[in-house]
Amino acid sequence: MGKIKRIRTISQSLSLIIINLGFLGIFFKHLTGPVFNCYACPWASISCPIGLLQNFVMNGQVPTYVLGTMGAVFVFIGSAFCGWVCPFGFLQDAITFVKSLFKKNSKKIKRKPQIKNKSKDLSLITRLIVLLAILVLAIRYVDTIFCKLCPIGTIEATFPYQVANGFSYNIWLGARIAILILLIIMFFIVSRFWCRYLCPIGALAGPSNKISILKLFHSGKNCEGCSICKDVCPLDIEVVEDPNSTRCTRCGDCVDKCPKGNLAFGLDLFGLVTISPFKKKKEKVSEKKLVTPSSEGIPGSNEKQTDSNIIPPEERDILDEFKYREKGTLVERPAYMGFKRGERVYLPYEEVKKIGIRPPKTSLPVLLKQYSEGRLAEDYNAPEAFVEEKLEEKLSETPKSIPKEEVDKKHFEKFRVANRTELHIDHLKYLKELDIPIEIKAIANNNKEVPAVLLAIIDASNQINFEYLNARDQKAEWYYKDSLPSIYFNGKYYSGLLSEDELIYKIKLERYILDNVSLVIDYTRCIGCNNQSCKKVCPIFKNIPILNEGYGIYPLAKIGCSLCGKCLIECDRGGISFIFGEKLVIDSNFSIDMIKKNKELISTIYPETVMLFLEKNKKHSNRALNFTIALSYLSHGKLSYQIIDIVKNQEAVLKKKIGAIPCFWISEKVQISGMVSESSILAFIRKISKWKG
Amino acid sequence: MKVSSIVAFILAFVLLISGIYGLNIGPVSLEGRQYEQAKQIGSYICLSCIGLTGSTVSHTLTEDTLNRLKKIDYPVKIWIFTSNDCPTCPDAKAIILNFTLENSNITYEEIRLETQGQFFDAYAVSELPTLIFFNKDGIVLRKDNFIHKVVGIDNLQKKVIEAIEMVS
Repeated sequence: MGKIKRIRTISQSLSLIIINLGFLGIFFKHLTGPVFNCYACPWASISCPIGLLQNFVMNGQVPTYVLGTMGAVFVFIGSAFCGWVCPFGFLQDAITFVKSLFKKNSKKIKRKPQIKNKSKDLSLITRLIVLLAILVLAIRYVDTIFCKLCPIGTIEATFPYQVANGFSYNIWLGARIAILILLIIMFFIVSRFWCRYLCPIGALAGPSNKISILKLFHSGKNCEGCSICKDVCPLDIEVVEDPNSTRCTRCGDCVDKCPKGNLAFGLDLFGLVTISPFKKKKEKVSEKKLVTPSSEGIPGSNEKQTDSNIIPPEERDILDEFKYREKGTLVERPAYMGFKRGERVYLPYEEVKKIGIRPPKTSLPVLLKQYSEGRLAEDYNAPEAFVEEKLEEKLSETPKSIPKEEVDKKHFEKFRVANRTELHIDHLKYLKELDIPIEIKAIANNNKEVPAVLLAIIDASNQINFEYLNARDQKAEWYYKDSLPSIYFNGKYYSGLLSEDELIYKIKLERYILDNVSLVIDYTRCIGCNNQSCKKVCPIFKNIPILNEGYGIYPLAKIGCSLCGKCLIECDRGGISFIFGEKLVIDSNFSIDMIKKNKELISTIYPETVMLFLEKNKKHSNRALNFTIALSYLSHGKLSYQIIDIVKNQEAVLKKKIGAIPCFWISEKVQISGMVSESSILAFIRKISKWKG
Repeated sequence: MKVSSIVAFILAFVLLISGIYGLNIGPVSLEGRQYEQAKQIGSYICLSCIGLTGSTVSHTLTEDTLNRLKKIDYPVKIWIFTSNDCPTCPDAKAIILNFTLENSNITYEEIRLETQGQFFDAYAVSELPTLIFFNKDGIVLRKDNFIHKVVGIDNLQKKVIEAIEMVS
């Protein structure tokens, strides 16, 4: 409950007591005010304006006193009495509060649909009709007809009298109780239903908001896409468009909840003197504005620039690495580790130092020459004085403050050394040149299960972030563990062969995806986002500036994203999406709500690799890509995918007999081509579940 | 909007002051200032207005009432509290009038809120219509030390005849 709401509840409670002070014998019934409180209540201390209005009209008088009293309040504060004093409004607020208790996730603000209601607002007209009907009936029948049906009278007068004087029944009593019950049901369905459509006082109070001295001001800053004010408004007013709506009860919930503080109450004396909390006038905001991502704050962007300044990329070569002993060297495998004598492996220098293997005596140019000729130098000596570290002792020495994970990691680092293998020089070259971070995770029962070839790949590049997870570890729960070891590349399960070529090919595919896919943030949807779930789920978002308007395009390679898709799922405002290509293609109807709802079904599928045939800078291709990313994440990475650009790979298109783009291809029988929609994707998911299961 | 707000501002205060100072506009001009009338209207509860008593009722006396009424041989005076804007008071008055026509021992007097407000305070009447009963010595009928009031017009005949019998 916000601050204003708390004060308002106190105000409403106090008002309820003050206008019903009759229990202390205090009456000031010559007073009236724009509040709906039955004066027939035994405790009521002030008069009901509508009751008085009817009585004066019945007597053939113009009700100047009542109209004057209400008018005097309205010209100063508009309909603020409705929100802050009126007991019937308080009752409706209480019902709304009770309703919110029953609902799940009551803490979250319920999002109302963004569709604009094109039909005219008839609420003021219905209220005026009620007021006119009251007056006409009073004149025609010389009776207070409205009072006979009035719901607040039923609560405040009829029930207490029934209790005090014994129950009696007549047709009017039946009718008014029925009306009260009906209204209470309506209050549960539509908040402030009475104030919205029926209140005769509101018929006069509503228009006064436009002319009153107290006014609600909007700062004029861009609020597009937020609409939290509308969501919290009990009367569903488009607050930004019409802050002084005829429906407004001045409750101040919008002011309370506006995350940017763009709404506040101020004073406006006949348009001559304005005391507004915001001084600027409302600016016009262009609808679509592309924000070029600034490299500021994006990790890696600065470093990359400086690197490229020093060493132009063309001049870099894998062989350059060998000039620097700090970075690593080729070493011979120790024979006693179960390898053939002379078998070599590339190791980072740190590792070399650690395991105590002596680097080859032969100079590097000679060594490489021999290697290119297909013969290896034989003059390697057996390793000198290799001192095996007493690992177990060291581990037992580990202070208790170090977390278990770290101990595991150290343990893994020590024991994995024995399983090294050698990579092809081309692959080594490729991995050295790799300039995009790739995340690899291995889930296994023990560290010996991790394939040696994978370890060699990991060691060959600085850009590969490798993590080993024990299958029984809590951290590994999310991952697919039916056939261990499970290897995940950038959050996608790898179900292929554990051969060098396959793994390198997979890295190439991942690199292609990261090179060609960009993250798009629709900043208009970020306005008013309180959850900031993107920042919670991914540290990358902490470095991305969140602006107030336009779109931000961030190439994945530049921001160091591994495209796990978590942000896409977690963002509840639909502000995050991915595009294939460089151009901003806006897809306003894009939504993955249905996919999110079916996450349990999706999580049950079997590992599968999808070929996504896409065309760059196309709306439907982007949509298919986003669906796939979402599916991949929700399936716990079991649905891995590779992107095929149809312009560059026409052969593949012909070979796979792709009819329409985008295409979601698993086999000739199992594919969706053309329009990829959420429902078609889900149908497809059901199909593969059946097909496999 | 400037003009309309200024006009509304002036109008509101003109109406308020005219209401307070008794500048009655309209086809019927009543004595007294409107805020005093408001006090009267607000203070006395019209029971039919809050659905506690029927709006219409038969004025003709039933046979049972007539038979019991014939037996009354002592004088009973009924005060009936009414007001201008009480919709069921004329019905109550009509029924009491029938009582007085049938039996000359029974008389009634109408106490009007607008002119005889002090009696309302004296007998603590706040609902309309209300009937109270006096015997020949002018002593008000009491029940359990409280003034016995017949309130509203539901079963009025039955309640009145019972009260008249109690006066003896």
